[in-house]
Amino acid sequence: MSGKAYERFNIHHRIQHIMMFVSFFICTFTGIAIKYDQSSYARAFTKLLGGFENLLAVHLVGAAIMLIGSCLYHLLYLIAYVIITRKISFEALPTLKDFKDLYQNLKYFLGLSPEKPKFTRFSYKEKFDYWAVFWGIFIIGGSGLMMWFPDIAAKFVPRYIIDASRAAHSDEAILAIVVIFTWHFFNVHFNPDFFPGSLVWFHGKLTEEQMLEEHPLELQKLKEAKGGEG
Amino acid sequence: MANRKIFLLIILSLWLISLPAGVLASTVEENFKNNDWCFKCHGAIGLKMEWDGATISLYVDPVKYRASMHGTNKCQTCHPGINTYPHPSLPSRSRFLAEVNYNCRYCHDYVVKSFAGSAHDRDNVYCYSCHTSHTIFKSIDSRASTYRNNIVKTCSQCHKGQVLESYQESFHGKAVALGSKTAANCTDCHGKHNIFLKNDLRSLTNPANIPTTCARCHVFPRKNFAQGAEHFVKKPYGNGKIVYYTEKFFVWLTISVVVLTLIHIEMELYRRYKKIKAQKALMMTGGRHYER
Repeated sequence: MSGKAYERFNIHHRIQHIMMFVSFFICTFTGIAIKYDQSSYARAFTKLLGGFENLLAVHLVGAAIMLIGSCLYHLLYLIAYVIITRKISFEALPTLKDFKDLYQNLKYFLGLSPEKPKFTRFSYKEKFDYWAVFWGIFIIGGSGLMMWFPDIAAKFVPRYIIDASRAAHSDEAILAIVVIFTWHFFNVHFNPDFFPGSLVWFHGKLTEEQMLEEHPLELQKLKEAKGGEG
Repeated sequence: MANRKIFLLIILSLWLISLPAGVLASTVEENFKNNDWCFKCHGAIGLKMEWDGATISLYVDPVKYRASMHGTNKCQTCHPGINTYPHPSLPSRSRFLAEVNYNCRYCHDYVVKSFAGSAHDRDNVYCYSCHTSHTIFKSIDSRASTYRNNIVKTCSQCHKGQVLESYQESFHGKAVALGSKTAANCTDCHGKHNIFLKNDLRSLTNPANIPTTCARCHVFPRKNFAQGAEHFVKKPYGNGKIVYYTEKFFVWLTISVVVLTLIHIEMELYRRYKKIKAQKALMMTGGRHYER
């Protein structure tokens, strides 16, 4: 690494991401076995864990890690960040620029334009990933809690909502699994720039070169801020 | 003298205590011998005959039968009067089946009471329809047709179609299929010998009784918890409508998101491919880095 390193993800972001992917894998391996219960994989994996009761317990442990270790932590972090630093950031919200960037990027891919879009702190790809998880947790977490505590859920919603939530839970999970293993894995693992994988999730830093390449407007902003200060 | 009397008394009582076991052992020995004689023919794999238009198997697995709950009984306990060969002539097949079935109650009289008047108390359903004829085990034995995780297979001999499919797709069904010992199988909700029609007040699935039935496992028997269809159809009409449209929505959401992201990935790869080709043509690629 040459030049200066910029911190892109602080320790909280990184812990939230680690909690998320650890629980994602736990829930995927156990959840697929429940969804496709007639498959030989389901039989073998259930046997490996020593029975369905253990399979379900592991799935629920994964769910608890995801909901508490990642999501609740993230939401509390967002609130605490604003209160403690007295700063508020709307960088992660989708803007009109994201759609322009997408259009520009597609033109660039097709060779219709030599210019790549210039991204701010978060590119439209990263915003898509973030809000996809936000929506996914809302659906999967919500429906999962309804199935985990059906007695309580039945107090507020009729039975067919709980049944529909079960369909939503596994179908949304399949969407999440497919998108993670194609879209997200391409963007951070299989992409020739990062293969076999970007380590930003681990150290949270980007070099100046990488910043210039991937987030030029953010780099400019950081430099201006620094210039203004000193 | 007193000592001798006490000694004799002890000997006598010991003999009396061991008497039933001894008699039983000799009876069992005798039954085995009797059954072995039957198995000389009926232990032959593939033994069958035509009877009233149906081909029926006359083969009984001797090893399995001896291991089963009835293994120490004589064949004649259930098939009385068949002591000789050639066998005495038999009535029609349906009468024969009904007669054999009737013999169950001479030992299992306590079941008759709860079974009487139930939905299965009819002509073409016999005890052995569920319990099998020659391979009866205790329901805690995994070989038994009435074992927790074999119940679905046993019931689905007759109860097929929507009721079976909806159960297999339900969480109860999936859990039981994967070997759960706590999730509900057919008999947990519908009863065992005491299965009645839904409108019968004795039925566990009578609307008035459903909350109590659910409460056998779900410890908070809230009234609204027990409302709604259990064996619903996932079709655009009827009680599975909401589930059907939820599923459709997510299927199309998945298809569109995956297609769009894959197109995006492919376009990016296309750009890289073009670039690499152009650079190679210019003999400019010196290493790993190239302009994206």
